Amino acid sequence: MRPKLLFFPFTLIIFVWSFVSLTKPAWTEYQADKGKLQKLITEKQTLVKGIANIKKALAEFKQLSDDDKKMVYNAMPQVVNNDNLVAEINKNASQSGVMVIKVGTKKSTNKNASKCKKNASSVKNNKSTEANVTNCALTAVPINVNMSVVGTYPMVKDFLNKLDVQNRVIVPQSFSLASVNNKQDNKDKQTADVIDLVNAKISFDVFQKQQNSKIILSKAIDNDSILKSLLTGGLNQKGLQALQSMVTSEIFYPVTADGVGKENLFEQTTETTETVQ
Amino acid sequence: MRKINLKAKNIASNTSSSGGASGQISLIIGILILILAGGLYGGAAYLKNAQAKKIVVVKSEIKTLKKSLDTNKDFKNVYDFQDRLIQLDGVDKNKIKQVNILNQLSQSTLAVDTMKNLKVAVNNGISTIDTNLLTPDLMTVAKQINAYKAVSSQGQVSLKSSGIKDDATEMSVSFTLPRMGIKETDQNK
Repeated sequence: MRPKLLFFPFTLIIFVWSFVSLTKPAWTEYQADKGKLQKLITEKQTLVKGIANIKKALAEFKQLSDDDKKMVYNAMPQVVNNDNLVAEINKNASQSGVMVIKVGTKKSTNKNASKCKKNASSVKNNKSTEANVTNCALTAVPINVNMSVVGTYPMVKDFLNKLDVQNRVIVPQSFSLASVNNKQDNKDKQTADVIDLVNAKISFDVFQKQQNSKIILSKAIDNDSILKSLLTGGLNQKGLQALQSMVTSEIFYPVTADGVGKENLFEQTTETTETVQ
Repeated sequence: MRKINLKAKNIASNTSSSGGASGQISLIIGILILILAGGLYGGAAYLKNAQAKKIVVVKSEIKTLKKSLDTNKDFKNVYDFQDRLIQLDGVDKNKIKQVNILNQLSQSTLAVDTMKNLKVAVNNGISTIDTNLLTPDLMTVAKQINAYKAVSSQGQVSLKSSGIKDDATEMSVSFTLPRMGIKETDQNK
């Protein structure tokens, strides 16, 4: 009689114990995992959607003509590409008829670049904001080019015009033109050939793409502005249109180093290299 | 004697039947409570396990998607291309055409004047012009300043110097031209 009567309170105790120590923790864990699962599902959906959008942008990219792609790569190369820059300047000079006296390049003082370095160091210390990092990625690295040419005024003007629209995009910093006959006025009054010549000193910036090669797309999908722009609007048509308005010259095909190889490095040869046309 | 025995039996049977019913009820409720406890735990554990399995599946799907995103060369190419386009879009904002400045100066310089030298400094698209010109006389200096004033950004031209040199008057002026976009018309095109 007694054990049967005690069964109910005993099961009540078991129920309370099982609820507190088994059911409730399992339920709490289930609830916690529910949030985690929801987060994962959202992440998966973002990735699926992102990949679909990148595929759309990729299709758009593949539809671009080779010339359009070449134009972008010429305008904003991954490396300095001094060889192509000098070759294109030489091509412009030979087409305009000016004589290039000097060409030199140096790293331009770029305030944005130094900001980028500061941001990069503070990112490591988790002090930087996301916006600073993304702005950094969007800034091209400028390289300053100083050069001087001599020719008649129409030739120099034509050369400047060709520089303005060449494949390697330039942003002029300064230029000066001086009549050559000023200096030689007294010496060469009889030499009529020199009278109309103009000496031009030109300073401009060309650009190199900010190094961003180590990017891992899957990790950048949430905070990278380039990736965000790809995910939302496909290829940056505004940039392409801007380039098309800046570059109106024919597509420049880089030089190749034909005729390399020389045993006697100090031997003088009379052969001249062909000019790039 | 017989009565007494019957009574005792009656009492015994009455007591036994009432205790048995309570025991039965206690047993049934107890079993129901145990079933309920087991059911609740079983349900919670089943949901938890099913969800854990789902998490594993979704995680592996995410891993596969990330792998495909990171290893696809075409994706990296299109990202690189987009990066260049965005950086070019930024460059476009500071771009001017040098030849537009020369065209503007050509339009504003008197035919009788001869430029000896010209310096152009460009800052944020605004061009500062410094030039030396040879003009026939002081009246032409005034006309030339007036012509440059018409195109200068602030409507003023600084006359640094003017004086007679040989058979002409040499003048040195400085002024700024407003920002000229790359879409300005080119005369020499």
